[in-house]
Amino acid sequence: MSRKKVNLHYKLLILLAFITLIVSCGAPITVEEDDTNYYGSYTLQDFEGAFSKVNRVLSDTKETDKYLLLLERAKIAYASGRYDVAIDDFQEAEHQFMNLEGVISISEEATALWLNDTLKNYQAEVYEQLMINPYIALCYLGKGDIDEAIVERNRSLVRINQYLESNSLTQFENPFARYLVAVLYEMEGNKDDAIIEYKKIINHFPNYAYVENDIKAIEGDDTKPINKVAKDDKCDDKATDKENPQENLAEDSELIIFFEIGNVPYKTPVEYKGYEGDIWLSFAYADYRVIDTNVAGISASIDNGEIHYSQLIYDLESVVLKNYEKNKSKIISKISTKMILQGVGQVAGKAMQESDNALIAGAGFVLDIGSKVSVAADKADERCWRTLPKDIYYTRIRNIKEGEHNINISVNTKYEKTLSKTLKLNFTKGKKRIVYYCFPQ
Amino acid sequence: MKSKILIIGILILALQLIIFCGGSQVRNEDVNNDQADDVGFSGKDLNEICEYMLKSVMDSAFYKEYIAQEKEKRQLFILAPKLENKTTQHIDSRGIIEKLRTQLINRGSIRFIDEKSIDDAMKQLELQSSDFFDNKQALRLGKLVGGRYLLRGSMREIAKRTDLKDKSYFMITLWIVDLETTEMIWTDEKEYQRVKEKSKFTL
Repeated sequence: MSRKKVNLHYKLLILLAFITLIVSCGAPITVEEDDTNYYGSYTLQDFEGAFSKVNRVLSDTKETDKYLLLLERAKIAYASGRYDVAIDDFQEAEHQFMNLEGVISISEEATALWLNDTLKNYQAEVYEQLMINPYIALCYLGKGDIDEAIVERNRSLVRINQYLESNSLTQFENPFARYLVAVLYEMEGNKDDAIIEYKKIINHFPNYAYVENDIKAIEGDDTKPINKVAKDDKCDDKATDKENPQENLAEDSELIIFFEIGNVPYKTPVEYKGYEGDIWLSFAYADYRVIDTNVAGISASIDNGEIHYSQLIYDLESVVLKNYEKNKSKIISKISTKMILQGVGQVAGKAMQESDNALIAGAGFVLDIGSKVSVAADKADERCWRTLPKDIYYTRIRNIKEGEHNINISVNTKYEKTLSKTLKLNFTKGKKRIVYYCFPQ
Repeated sequence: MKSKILIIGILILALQLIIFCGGSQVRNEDVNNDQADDVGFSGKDLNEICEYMLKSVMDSAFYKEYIAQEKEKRQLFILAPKLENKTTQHIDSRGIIEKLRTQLINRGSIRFIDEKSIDDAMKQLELQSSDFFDNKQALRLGKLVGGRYLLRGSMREIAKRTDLKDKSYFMITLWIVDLETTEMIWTDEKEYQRVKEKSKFTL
């Protein structure tokens, strides 16, 4: 068989491999761009629009990105009060991430090294994983099911312990998760454990010293709240109630409001493809871009009474950026390895094609083409959970009298404009409510 | 050479066929062969817990005394809506005690109050499932529906997790309370320890 014919056969084989690759990557997305911009709708607080758009994206997504999109849909579903959808999606995503954790798939890693990281299954970052259980707990509270919220609190503690206490990944400390754990301990009547969690927050974040007030409130509180919660469908369906049936105790009610502000930094590609001599090389990685928020401060008051200013409980933006800085050396070493392989592949491939041996020449052709495919397919992995907030604040209003009250929430923007929202909430003796307020601007 | 290329081509096509044309099957399985695929509970565990607790109740001095009475004179039992769940698993814990109740009723020994009556009474007294762990509230309910004994329990877990290993110790405790005296007249527990390990590398 002549050398030309052998070359033709190898080329046909490569073509077949490409067709296989294209077929196995699924059909192209056919929906219109505007119909898929769930993130745009979300930031405009159009949660209904965001939900229908994310559904469209999810129905057309690749399997590798499915679980990231489940996180996005769950978050949007939570913001729009679809607690059951949110719980199912969060739990499915969590299950997948737990299965992937710590496991190295040789075929996936090889494909990622040859082509790009977007072909790997999405594995959530630690700070993303630590937000899943608190959100599920809030969803259960939204449904009025404190028993299942307590299960999620327990799961949250196991995850915190796994990362922060066993693996010493203290940069991922999540004071919001701890705060919610503490509140749930309080709702269960377990004051000692609540105090332990509040103290852990203060120890790790001395600038959150205001959490001390929550410890003081527990220590000065002789009442014994118990595990009881009821959904109040007359009011904001994101609110959660708790009742104290000990009728002899004239315990006042309490309101805890969590405010999510802005958006977490998102990944943006940094890509290069060019010739060094006659060698074609590339590098690609994802950098982070910070998104400014319009919010300057948030406060709440009851029936236009005393104004309660919100306090920071989680600066997620700085966690993301610190994590990125820590990972930079890994990113650089991965880029270097890939560029060396691309260069070596092309140089060796060209040299081998000069050989008189048809097999060696054919292998050289494959190596050369393979290296060039690697350059052509290289792209940054921009995937990240984008609907997470930049910061989380909270305010806690105690000693609320029984009955219906107007809760006024004021959001002060940087442009000296104040946005207001009023919620009508009904409080009964000893009842506790948790309200979640999302302001992704 | 030509035939080798042809074989490779056929192999690639066959591989595509296997990967993309898989079907699905439905078959019945014995619940006692249902092994847990993670550290949580399986159908087999629920059966084992139920059998263990049933034997324990029937061996107890209280039970022997109870069934020694004429059936009509035996006082009624209330079943708690669910177990107190202190684990990291979303378990339908009602299944465990419900299974135990079925066994006890079918043996013609213990008499239980109908579920609907309990639901109605809970609504009337504005009670929730957690109130079954408060003896005062449980007694209020018992008086309303005419129940003397309460079967309730709890599930606890100590969980440890690393990237490749999941380890959980579970303890399931059931007990019967005499609502009039608040005396615990029977109790027993069953423990499990389960570990799930993953391999570092997969294909």
